[in-house]
Amino acid sequence: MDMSFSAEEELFREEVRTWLGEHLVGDFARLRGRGGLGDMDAFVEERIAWEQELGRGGWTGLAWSKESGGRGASLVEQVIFLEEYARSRAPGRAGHIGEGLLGPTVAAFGTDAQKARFLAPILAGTEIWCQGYSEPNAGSDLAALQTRAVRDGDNWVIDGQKVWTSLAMVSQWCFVLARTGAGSSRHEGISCLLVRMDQPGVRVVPIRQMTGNAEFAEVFFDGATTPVDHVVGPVDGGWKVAMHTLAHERGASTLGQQADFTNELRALVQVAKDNGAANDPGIRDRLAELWMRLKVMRLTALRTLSAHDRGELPREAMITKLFWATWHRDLGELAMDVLGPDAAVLREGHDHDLHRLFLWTRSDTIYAGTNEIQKNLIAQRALGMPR
Amino acid sequence: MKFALSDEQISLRDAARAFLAELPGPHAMTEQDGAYNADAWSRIVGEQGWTSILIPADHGGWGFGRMEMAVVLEEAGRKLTPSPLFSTVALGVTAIDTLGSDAQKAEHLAAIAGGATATLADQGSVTAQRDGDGWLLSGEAVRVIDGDTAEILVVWTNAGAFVVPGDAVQRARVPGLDTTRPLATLRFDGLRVSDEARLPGADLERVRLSAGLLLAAEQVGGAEDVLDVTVDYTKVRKQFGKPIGSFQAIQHACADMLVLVESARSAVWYAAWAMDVGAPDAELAVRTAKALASDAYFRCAGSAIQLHGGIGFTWEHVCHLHFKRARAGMALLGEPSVHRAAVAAAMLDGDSAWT
Ligand SMILES: Cc1cc2nc3c(=O)[nH]c(=O)nc-3n(C[C@H](O)[C@H](O)[C@H](O)COP(=O)(O)OP(=O)(O)OC[C@H]3O[C@@H](n4cnc5c(N)ncnc54)[C@H](O)[C@@H]3O)c2cc1C
Repeated sequence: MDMSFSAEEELFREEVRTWLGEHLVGDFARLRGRGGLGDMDAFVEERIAWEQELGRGGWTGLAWSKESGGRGASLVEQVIFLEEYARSRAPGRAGHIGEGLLGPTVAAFGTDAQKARFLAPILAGTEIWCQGYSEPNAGSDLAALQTRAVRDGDNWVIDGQKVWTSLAMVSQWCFVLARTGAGSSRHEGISCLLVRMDQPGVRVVPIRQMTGNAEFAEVFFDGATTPVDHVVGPVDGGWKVAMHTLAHERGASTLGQQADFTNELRALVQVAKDNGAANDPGIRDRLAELWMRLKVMRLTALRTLSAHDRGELPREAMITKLFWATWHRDLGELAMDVLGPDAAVLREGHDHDLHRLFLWTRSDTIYAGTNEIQKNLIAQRALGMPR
Repeated sequence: MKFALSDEQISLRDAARAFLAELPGPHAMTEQDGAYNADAWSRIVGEQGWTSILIPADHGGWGFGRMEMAVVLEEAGRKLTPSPLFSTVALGVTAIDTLGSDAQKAEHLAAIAGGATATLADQGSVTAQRDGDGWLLSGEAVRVIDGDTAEILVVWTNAGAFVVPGDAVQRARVPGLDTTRPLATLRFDGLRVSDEARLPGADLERVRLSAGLLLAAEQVGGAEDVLDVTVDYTKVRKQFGKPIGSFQAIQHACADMLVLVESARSAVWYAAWAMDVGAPDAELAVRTAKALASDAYFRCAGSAIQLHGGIGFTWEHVCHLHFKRARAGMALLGEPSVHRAAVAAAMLDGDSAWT
């Protein structure tokens, strides 16, 4: 047991901090605090430019292996980076789906040609990706998906519909799960296709969320095409590929989540001090409870990370998504209670951020596996309860 | 950065688990007159040496840290092993080691390493009055864990702590919610003690935090045991032609329990490390651990009764022993709300920004 960072790790922290301090200036300075969850449609152009700035600095693909062009950073270094990134209030990453989901999937399952074609632009921030999994009839039950791709000469021809596709409106590429096998059903005969978004067969219709803005969209495929060699992993064997991607979505990439959450809790504490809510015993009790659970979120993440180093997937890793999603939703609810009567009024500034937090966090317990699905997984996989 | 048990700590845990499995269960050990099973205790002290873990090597102990103690107490908590282990190590050893002079440590810690039991009486109204070159202790100490049997008593008074022999005071066990952990009332009727009995240290809060952390470790073990017992039961108990563990309401309740158990364990391990190395956030870490572990244990024990149905409501079953110990332990060494209030003060009342 040693919870301190080594001298090299502290040097790394210093390097990240210095770089961010020197580059989050000029046009980028006003991006501080913007573009995070619930705000992903803000300053998109500017955030893509920032993504490219990060790429030039070698700060994209931290977790990627060196062969993939990444930094090959350790998990501890990744956590340090994310903590410093949040501390500097650097903007929400426009390229997070490519970096966090598609890139690792291509690195694990892709051909050499695919790696050569797709990885570098993600690192450079020049190609933005979206994830085409969910469909109107396939949400929690992803294996019910119906989008179909049929072989036609050198191309796949894709027909169907995706929904809730985050950032589809700004993406150049989408990784699409589609049925390719004859007589395909459930987990069999699915493939993972890499599809260009700017083509006649693809139509994107933004969906306005309960937050009022649109971060996700419907995506219609109507005879869209992609070359036959743009399938990641085996044709008809895409389920395994999809599960690999989901593991990333729910796993290590959320290790730094608590760093952003700390900023939010800190901001809420300031509001509570300013408006007097900090004198209310009930509010104090709940702020303390959230602080404690935030600390524990970090600790459990670090425990998971130490187990990773030993090549284990411990059961505490399986509680991560449920834990942070529920924590964040509780924070959103407490934010309204801190505002008190002003919860009913929409205002600019801090209040605005708190309302966005309150509304956005209703989605945290839905995407990347709903709380109910997480509990099913914990019961069945971590506790071995019967199906 | 390594947040995991070391190989040595894992061996210690496994050995503790194997040893505890050989002891009679909590019912057999509490049913007679509530007295501890002397044979089990002599094996804990003699074979396992657990009372020596926290005692510095200079005083005949192992000189290990709270982390090792927490690992063992997690196991003891899991098996609800009735014994004076908690009071002796978490209260007695901690109080003497934190508050005592070198001479007092040499005398009393060595006695504990040799098998004596000890506890701390810090609740109540005991006062100390100067009497020539000694002191007169008067008043009542309440809710003293194992106060009726401990051989060495550390008593907190208006003039600091005193160490006195247990049989020098009038003491009586009080009926307790938790039958596996006796509480007692101690009466001091002008007990005369020498000045050497007075411990020079004043940091009672540190003693209580350290003990609270160790109680939290025990609570994590208890919470994990009720979860294990419940999951095992739901796999074999059939209703409507299926194991009840296949029903989603049951699965989700168990998933919630696992979240509570693993979160509390993260908090306890960190707090143990933080106290051992003297990290600046040690106090808040301990408060977090005690609050979360107390809540986790109580909620898990409550769920366990519910998920067992009628059998869970019986005297024979282990569920109620956990449930009672969980609620009683919640009240000891700071209720969760007390610890949250202290955390809130650090967050909201200081002018320095918390991290
Ligand atoms: C903000 C946001 C962004 C998203 N971004 C993307 C994206 O980029 N790409 C993408 O592919 N998808 C995305 N999604 C979709 C997301 O993955 C799905 O919404 C999610 O998987 C749930 O599916 P659903 O909406 O169809 O709800 P349903 O699956 O219909 O669920 C409805 C309710 O039923 C419950 N339920 C369903 N099955 C079970 C079960 N077996 N046991 C118990 N309860 C059950 C659910 O928990 C939920 O409460 C996004 C969603 C949101 C909210």
